[in-house]
Order: sequence, then structure tokens, then C-alpha cells
Amino acid sequence: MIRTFRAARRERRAAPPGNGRRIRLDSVTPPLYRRRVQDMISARGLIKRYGDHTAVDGIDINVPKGQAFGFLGPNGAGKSTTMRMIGCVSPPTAGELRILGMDAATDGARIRARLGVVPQDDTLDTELNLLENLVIYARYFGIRYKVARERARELLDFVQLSDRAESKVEDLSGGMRRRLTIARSLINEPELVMLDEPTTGLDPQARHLVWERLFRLKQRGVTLVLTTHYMDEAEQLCDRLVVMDGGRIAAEGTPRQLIEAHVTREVVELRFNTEDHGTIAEKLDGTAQRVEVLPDRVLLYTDDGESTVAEVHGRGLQPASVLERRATLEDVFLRLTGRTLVD
Amino acid sequence: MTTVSENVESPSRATGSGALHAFEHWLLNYRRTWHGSVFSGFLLPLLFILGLGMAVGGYVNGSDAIGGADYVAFIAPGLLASTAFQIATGELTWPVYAATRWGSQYKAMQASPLTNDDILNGHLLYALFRAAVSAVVFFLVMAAFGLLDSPLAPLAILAAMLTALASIGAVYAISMSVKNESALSIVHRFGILPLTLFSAVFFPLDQLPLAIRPLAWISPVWHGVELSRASTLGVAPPWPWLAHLAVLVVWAVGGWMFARAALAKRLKV
Repeated sequence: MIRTFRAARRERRAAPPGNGRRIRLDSVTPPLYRRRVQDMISARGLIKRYGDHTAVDGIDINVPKGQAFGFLGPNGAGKSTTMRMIGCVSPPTAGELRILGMDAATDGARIRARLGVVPQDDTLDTELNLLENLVIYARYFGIRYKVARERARELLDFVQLSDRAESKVEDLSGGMRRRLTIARSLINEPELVMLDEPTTGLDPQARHLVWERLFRLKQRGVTLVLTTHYMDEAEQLCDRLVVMDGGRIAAEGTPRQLIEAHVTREVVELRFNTEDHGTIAEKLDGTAQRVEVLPDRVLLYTDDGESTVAEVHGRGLQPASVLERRATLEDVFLRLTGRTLVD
Repeated sequence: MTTVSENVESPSRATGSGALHAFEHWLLNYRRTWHGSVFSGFLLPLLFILGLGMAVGGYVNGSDAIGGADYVAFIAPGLLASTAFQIATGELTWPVYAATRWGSQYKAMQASPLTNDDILNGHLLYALFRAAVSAVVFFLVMAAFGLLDSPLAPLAILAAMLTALASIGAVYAISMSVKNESALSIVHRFGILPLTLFSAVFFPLDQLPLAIRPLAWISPVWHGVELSRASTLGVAPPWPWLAHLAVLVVWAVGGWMFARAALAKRLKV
């Protein structure tokens, strides 16, 4: 039975923290002794410099087969540069990069033949219709016309665009273009699909549709590597992720591990109307394990939100709004870098 | 489910079919406009032959300067070569500029197994294909007007293709390198047009002052035009035909190397 994306999310939410995800992770992570052979991507000391600017500053990554691996970070963190290096479009300045067991520096074309790539900007041919876009892309891979047309039809069906097969790309909405780009990336039946910000700029409904399709791919055993600056996207899709900042990896783990390692279980968000947040911080001292003052709100990191809120009120403070919530990757990012993900 | 290798024509990169696959992309785009281009392919030589050949020919026919030949028969092979040159280079100005800056065709190809050389050669092949279509059409119109005076006349198509081949690399390199699109208008006005006018298409080269003749000698168009004319009129070209051929080959190889370097620079990320 195919478990839908939403159902999976409901299960995850209902399950005790960490549980649901860990079980699935174990099932896709190969035993340690096989991991080296099975790694789809393996990078050691990967560096990319543009003149004086170092975009990627010595990162190590391992992505085992079947995993959904994410690069989380703000714009300019080096995510897209890393993706271009893995996609064998941009040669690394230094370091070792092996993809599908081959050397990115020498086997670029052979590696690209087995990759699916969804670039940040859709690189569709707007003058061709949807079917033609897929078929001609298949030809770049040397796939026979007959097979290309069959696959194109199937993939349009997969991304729910069959009824638009003969439409021109320029008539499509942003979400539809994104889905078409995803369909195109699958034309060569890749073992590894790279998605650079798959849902940036899409409305919530379009995002969910993309997520659901990506989740299906994951279920089929396709290895996914994606970049995002949306922490909810990372939580939804990634088995494991790295937090990137300034070209380096700031932390690595499953979303749950990252949250457990770097922040508390719960967060209380307070907003105050009148008073200066600076003086508020002193008054809040000791109500939680950590107090983070942002320009617009104060975050209290605590393992027990309820008693923290009670303590705040007990001290006679009157916040304009109080929000108790579970800690997210956004909090992890804030903790690690001192900045928010999306400004 | 079938495996990838069963459905792939060229699992090995050594077959070099990548350029053909890139060429198919441009061919697919051409499918939308081919009716128009074939029609204009007929119309252009007709207008030239009727307008210039017949009208201007009335004044100059039998002139010693053109060796006593019929003026239409004199300019037609020149036009054949220069049209192939214009069509091929025209395909490589704005389209090449656009492919890396406005459109995303090259970016899409880059993500695939195609190499930079495949991308380059695919685009050049398309320009040659367009030139070939126009050359064949032009040749047929010439035949219809009885302008082929030699059994070697079909070689004129080859001469026209060589003219195109000699020019495409250089034009591609320029279009890929220019900073802004207004530079492309300059290429047309001060490159492609004068090359057509001063390469002995409409008058023999010795009508030009000696001082500017060397410009024609280094022009790929002049050498192509002379080979084309030699083929249809059945006369000897001004230089040994091997010398004409050598200049064209130098242009073709040099141009391709420049184009390759320009593309690599542009696509470097």
C-alpha cells in the first residue's frame, strides 16, 4: 500500500519524538561496513573558490543510497555551489568528490548520465510544449525516441500534468513548471536526484504537491539531495541534513538529532508591546535554559513550556502574546549561527 | 522494467553522438518555422536573379571584366556561397547570445551528459544544416534559370558549405563573448554585410583598388565565392583551388578553436 505523504506526516506527529523517523532511517541506512561502497556521494575537504571569495570552505559529506539528504542554510551559504559541484557542472577548486563511485573531476559526463537535476531556476525551453521538453531532454541522454515518448507520458502523469502535454511551457504556473522540471529530471531513471530549492517561490498548495511527489520518489528508493532555506521543507523531506553557513557545515544529523543536540524540546515565544526587549531579558533571566532576544520577540528555550509560562506570569510580566511550541530546525539554525534562516 | 542500457543508443561517450543530440534540440525548434524559411529560401534567390541579375545585367552583360559571361550567371554562384554564409552566421548571432543569457537551453544541456564540445558542435551543425538547406534551394533555382554551365556545378553546393563552415566558428566565438547585444548589430553591419559586398559576389575582385584587395584575400567569403563560381561556370578560380581550400580550412579550424575557448569561458562556473 502506498502511504500518502500527509498520512506519513500525521503518523510522525502522533508518534513520540524521534521514533517514527528513526525506524524509517534504519531501514534505509546500510550497515556501516557496506556504507562506503554504497555511498552515492562522498566528499572530502571540498572547496570552491571564486577569486578571493571562498563559496564552499572544506566540507565533508556522505550520502548513502536511498537517503533523502538536505542542505539547509540561508542564501549565500554555499548550498547551490555545492550542488553544482555534485552535478558535475562546476569543478571543485580542491578536495575529493566521488559520485556514484566515480570521480567528479574526470567522469563528469558519465556521472551526469545517471543524475537527475532540478536546478534552482527552471531551465525549460519555453518555446516547446511539455512533451517536447521531456523528449528532447531524453535525447541528450541518448534515450531512443520511442522510449523517450513513453517515459515522457508516464512522467507527465506522475507529476499530474498529462492534460497539459501539448501546452507551451510559457502558459504554465510556477508550480507546474517546477513539477515539469522534476519530471524532466527523472527521464533517465536516475539513481540520484538533486533538487536545488525545489519549492522556493511556490504557494503552499503547490509546495505540498511537490513534496508529495518527492516523497513518492523517496519511497521508490531514489536517493534525493536537496537544498532549502525552509526548515519545514527540511523536516518534511530529509532523513538527514547538514546545516550550512558561510561555506561550512555547522551541524549534521537527522532533524530530530539536531534539535535534541542543539536546542531544548520546547520553545516559548513572547512578544511585548511597550517595553524594551533588552530590559525584558534581565527580568526573564532564569525562567528557561536559554533566553534569546530577537528584534521582534523573545525566545525561551525550555524542556517544559508550561511551567516556563507560569514562571513568566509569576514574575508579573505581561507579554502581548505567548506561544508555546516544539523546537524546530529554525531554532537550531538560530542557535548555531545567531541568525534566522529567512530574513 | 527495462534497464537503461537497453534503451540508450550510445552508452559510450566515445561514439561522439552527443553533438547530434544537441543538434536535435535546435532542429526541434526549427520545425516550427521551416515552412517560412524554405519559402524565403526560394524567394531570396529569385529576387536576386530577377532584380539584380536581369536588371543590372542589362548594363553589364558581356563586359570584359566578367570574362564575357552572362551577369546573372556571374553573380548567382557568388550569391549561392554568400547566402549560405549569411544564413549560417545569422543563426549564430542572436541565438547563440540568447542561449546563454536570455534562454536556458545551454544550462539544461550542461546538466545532461552532453559535454561543452557536444553543445558547441550541436549548435554549429544546426547552422550548417540551415546553410545546406538554403544552398540546395538556391542551387535548384539556378538550375531552373539555366545558370549551370558546367558538369562540375554541384560542387558549388560544397563550396557554399565550405564558406559557411569557415565562418561559423569565428562568428560563434564573437556572439558568445560580446558584452551586450548591440555588439551583434555591429557584427552584422560591419562584419557580415561588408564581407558579402567586398568578396567578389557582385563584381570581380580586380575591380577593387589594389590596396583593399588583401582584405578579400583573407576573407573566407571571397575564397568560397570563387570556388563556387569556378564550379558553375566551369572556369579556373583566380588562385589554385587548393590555396582557396587551404584558407577556408584555416578559418574553419581556427574559428572552431576560438569558439570552443569562448564557450568554455562563458560556461565556467
